[in-house]
Amino acid sequence: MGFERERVFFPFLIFHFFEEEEREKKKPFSLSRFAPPSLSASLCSKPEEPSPNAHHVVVPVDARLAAKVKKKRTREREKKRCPRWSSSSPPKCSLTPINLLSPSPSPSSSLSFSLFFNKEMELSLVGLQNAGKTSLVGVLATGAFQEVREGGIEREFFFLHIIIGGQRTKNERKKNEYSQPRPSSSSTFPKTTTPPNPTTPTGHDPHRGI
Amino acid sequence: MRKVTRGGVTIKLWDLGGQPRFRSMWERYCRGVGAVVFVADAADPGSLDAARAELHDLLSRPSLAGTPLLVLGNKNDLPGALAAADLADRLELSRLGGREVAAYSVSCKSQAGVNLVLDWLTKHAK
Repeated sequence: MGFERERVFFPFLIFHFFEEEEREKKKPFSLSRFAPPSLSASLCSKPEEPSPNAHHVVVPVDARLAAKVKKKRTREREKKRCPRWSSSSPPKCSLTPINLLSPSPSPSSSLSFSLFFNKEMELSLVGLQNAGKTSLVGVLATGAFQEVREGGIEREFFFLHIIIGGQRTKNERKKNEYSQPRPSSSSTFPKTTTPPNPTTPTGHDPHRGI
Repeated sequence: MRKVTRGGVTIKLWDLGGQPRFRSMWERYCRGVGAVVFVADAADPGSLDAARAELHDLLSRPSLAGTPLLVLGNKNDLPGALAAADLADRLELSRLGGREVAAYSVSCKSQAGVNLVLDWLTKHAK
């Protein structure tokens, strides 16, 4: 009995937190527009759509509008996903199945039950940049080494920096982005191709510390 | 924030930014945690002085008194990487009194020593 329980529970030991994110990354942008209503309803929330049968196809007139629509969808998706900085929302593969399956473990399985799933700890991982903190998290979570994109955590911290009192707000950033002239062929984020915006105050560097 | 369940222990990890502008925020996230894990690049001796200064600055805060510390010398698959004892000397871990301190030499790439880290973490879980 205990053996069966362990066999059932073992897959829950490793969960993939970024599974959803990977799935969304693989999905091309144009597909969400022409996807069947069930898929599009589940992946991108479109509350303004009148009925699932009406295929309301929006054809963007220029690249700026397309980028705007894409950004809006991304924001909606981000909103739908569980917020990254809250610890209150547990991941999908949490301990809930175990609690449901065995609310009161029998004495024979109580030993294995106490060995599994009743310890918890909170760690904070510090170190200079490029020391390998995020790689360590990846190894601890998945048991495999994976290349970490540059400045990953720093980018997330940047958004936190906005929330807790950075000088530049999201709306301001959006306004600056769309007020710049952009080449119509580039649909990617205009990070390096555009010249620095002259209207941005020089003392308000968004990447400066708090 | 990342949650990892390994060997019956659920570990919540705050993966904090290491750039100089984020180092002042470390203390906020280290308050009340079960342990602080300090990752250093053992293959880059030039960065260890800055790492030592930041580590001692962080752990001298009164809110972190008694918090166990695990120092990891990462990238030990590279040539010239310091061993755990040398790293402990360079970071002057003996000066950090009043808490449990451990130093391991690990490599995320070859996954050497990761099991030691997990053992240490599970031992210190409540």
